[in-house]
Amino acid sequence: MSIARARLIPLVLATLMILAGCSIGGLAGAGREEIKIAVVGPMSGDAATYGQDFVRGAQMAAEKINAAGGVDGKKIVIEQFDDRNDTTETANIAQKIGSDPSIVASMGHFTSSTVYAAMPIYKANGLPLVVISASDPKITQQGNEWVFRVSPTNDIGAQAMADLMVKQLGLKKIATFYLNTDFGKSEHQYFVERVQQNGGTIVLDEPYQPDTKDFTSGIIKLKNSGAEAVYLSSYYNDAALLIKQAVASGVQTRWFASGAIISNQFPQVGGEAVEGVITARVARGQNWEAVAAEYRQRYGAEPTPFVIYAYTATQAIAEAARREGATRDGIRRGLEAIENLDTAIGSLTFDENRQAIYTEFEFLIVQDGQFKPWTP
Amino acid sequence: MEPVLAVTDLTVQYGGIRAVDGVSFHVAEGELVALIGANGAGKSSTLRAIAGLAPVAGGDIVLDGVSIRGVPTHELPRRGLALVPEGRRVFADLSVLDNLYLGAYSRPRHEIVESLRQVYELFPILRERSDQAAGTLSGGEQQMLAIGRALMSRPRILLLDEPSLGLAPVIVRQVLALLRQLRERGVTILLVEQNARLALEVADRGYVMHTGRIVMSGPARELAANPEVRERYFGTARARSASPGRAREPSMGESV
Amino acid sequence: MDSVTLPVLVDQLVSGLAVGGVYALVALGFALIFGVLRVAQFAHGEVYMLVAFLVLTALPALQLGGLGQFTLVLVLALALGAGLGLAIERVVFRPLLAAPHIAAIISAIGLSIALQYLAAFVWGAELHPFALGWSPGNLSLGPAVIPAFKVIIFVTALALLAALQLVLRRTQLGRAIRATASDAETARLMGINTTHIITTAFAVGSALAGAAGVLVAALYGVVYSSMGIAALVKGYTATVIGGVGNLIGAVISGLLLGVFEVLLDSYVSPKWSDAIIFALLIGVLVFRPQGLLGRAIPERL
Repeated sequence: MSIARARLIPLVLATLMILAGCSIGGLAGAGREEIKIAVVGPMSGDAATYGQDFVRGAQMAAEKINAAGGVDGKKIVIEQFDDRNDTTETANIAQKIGSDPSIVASMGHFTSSTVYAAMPIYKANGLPLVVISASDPKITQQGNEWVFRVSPTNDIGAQAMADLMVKQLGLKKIATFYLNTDFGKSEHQYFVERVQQNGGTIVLDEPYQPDTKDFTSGIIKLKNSGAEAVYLSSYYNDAALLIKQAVASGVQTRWFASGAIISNQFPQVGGEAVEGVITARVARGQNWEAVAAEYRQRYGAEPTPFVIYAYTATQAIAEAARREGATRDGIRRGLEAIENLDTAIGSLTFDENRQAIYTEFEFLIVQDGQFKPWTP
Repeated sequence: MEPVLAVTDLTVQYGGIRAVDGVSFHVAEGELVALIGANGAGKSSTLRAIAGLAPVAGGDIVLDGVSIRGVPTHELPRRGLALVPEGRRVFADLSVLDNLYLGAYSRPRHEIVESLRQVYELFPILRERSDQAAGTLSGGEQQMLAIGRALMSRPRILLLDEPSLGLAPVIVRQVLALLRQLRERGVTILLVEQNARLALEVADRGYVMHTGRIVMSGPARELAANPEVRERYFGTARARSASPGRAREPSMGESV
Repeated sequence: MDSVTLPVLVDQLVSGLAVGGVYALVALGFALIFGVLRVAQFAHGEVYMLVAFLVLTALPALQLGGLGQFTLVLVLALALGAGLGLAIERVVFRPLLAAPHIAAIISAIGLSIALQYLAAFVWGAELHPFALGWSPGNLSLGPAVIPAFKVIIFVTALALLAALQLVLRRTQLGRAIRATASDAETARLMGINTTHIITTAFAVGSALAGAAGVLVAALYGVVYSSMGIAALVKGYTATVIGGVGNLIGAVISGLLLGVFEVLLDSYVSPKWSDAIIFALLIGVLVFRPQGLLGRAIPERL
């Protein structure tokens, strides 16, 4: 026993010293040569495609910036973290990122639920987080000065869809399905409010659980709801399956969905059944197309919008570091000061809630297995 | 004539416990042989060892001139051995008819109808109950089913393990009368029974087992007349009162 | 908004029976294997998943169309299921026949996880669209218009279940399987090679899982590496509710479970239906371990 303890103490001391040495070294490195940014999201599991695009977008931007000399000579370094799209794991990983002094900014957490889980931890650690996908508008309305967002909120997309359906297309009886999560509930709520303001009626209001594969009960209700059109506050997998199963069940209606369905997987999973599905997204300028083209060339696939948002976030963080210094607080102040910055999404300006301002929308339709521009 | 079943120096060992210790006996064609003894004497272990259900540590078991030691249990019906296990063990949730069909599992299909006819002739009650679940039969009926099931395989030798256990006395008599009837039809039978008096009534010959060994053997009638056997295994009030307080080990010599 | 009309109810019942038929197939296969092996085959759901993936991979080569296509896919699924079952029995369970049950159970759980990872590695972790290449259109059933495919799934499941019942009740092999499940030692005394019976039960039970896998893939239009877990949970629930060892009970409770689930989804909330079903499962395990449909069979020795 005593021998064991005698051996144990030096071992523990040695370990502690090594760990301490590492973090001191890390700090020194961070201060001098590099600006380390955490990219966090689902790197494994069902939503891993998104996490992968987070990393690719950030990496592409970092390479571009570094090739042009970095930020005052410092290289941008991207380090990826996996939160498995799970709120519990998110809390752990956010704490891990927050307590790594070599990291000066973070971007990501895929869903609104995970962002909510992570936000207080970033604040407690004084580390700026740039949200690049989660779309619940309330995220940036919490008064948390460490949280920024470069991606659009779902209210504007949902409202644009409600205007299109009721005002432009004259569809009055509308059925809705929504994913029963922070994202789905909030996007659904903005949609419903705007439909009602526009004089339409919601004839079906059907929530479903994450990972649902069987939409039978909702589809039966839909069949008997008298709806002229359906709007889905869904991700690509759920939306594709729901539409596919509804069409197989003999449902004939017009389908509309949240911009969150935009992914190659949507037409791939949905097949013929999703032809003609209409969705909306923020308008894309030439910067966006340039990044998308580079992505296609490098990866041989169509980028998700999150590539562009991750790219934009990296550009914004670099600019902030250039303005106010590559420290956590410097980047926070630098981000707040950004106005009309030329980024992948076009001109980036944050509003008083640190939310990027978007004004223009475009509509897309699925045709021949691809999303194509569409004008009403 | 060569016996149907010959057991020589059989030893059965469970871990460190020797349940059967160098037992030898035989059953000749057409004979009904009873193996009697108190609870725990090793009778059932002997039967189970013959059927490949208990670990044989030594000795040999020969069926029709061929050793069956180490032959897997499921091969034995094909070689002509059928065991009616202790507690009857009918397949409770299967029908009576299914139980009988299973008895003929080792037989070619075309023989089954004839075997079934014979078994039904022997046990008319089973024909009446053929669609009933076996578990719903009375104890006596289940015993008949268990025997009928064993007969479906047309065995060279039928082994019965405590067929009287748990049955009312009147049913026990029926079962033993049936064994006599079977014997008269030429079925060779090895009967393991705690109820020595009844067993010896129907048997041709008997072996007495005590603590894993055979301590006595001979024609059933002689054993039944032996006062030691009567006293120790017949368990009647008269036998007990005739020799009060005697609890010594039996000192019976070999009477072969 | 959710008024119950006859067409809605008919639609719900048919949908419930289609899904329930799939549950019944999974439950029956699981119960069959459990019956003779006395060990829960926790990788049963992975057989269902792997067969769905294998058929998906083979689909481009199957271009019969129509009912022929469906039949071909079904036969292929049965064959692949049986093959996988045989392989799993030989490699994982047979070496452990003499080992304590817990060893086999842990191996089965390990196998389940390993096969999920294998599928995710080979085919990818995302959803894969599954198109049978045949859609039989809609069917008017009284006032209700329902997808004919759901009826076909239900009928197919019933036909397979009936065929198995016929084998179990009317053939020596079937009786041997039931005897082995009832009392393996006595079954051996009848001349039944119970090791072969276990192998057979694996082949037959896994074939049913394979059929269930493609039926569900065609019904939902999708295949994914974690689909087996959901199926196993439902099949296990049906087995327990039906009474372990009671094959007819497993079938009936599988069908009822499917209907019950659709009704819960429709009239309570999809949010609660799984919770309610698991509460039922636990309630049955605690208060009526012989199952809701099982009869109390006296303990055999």
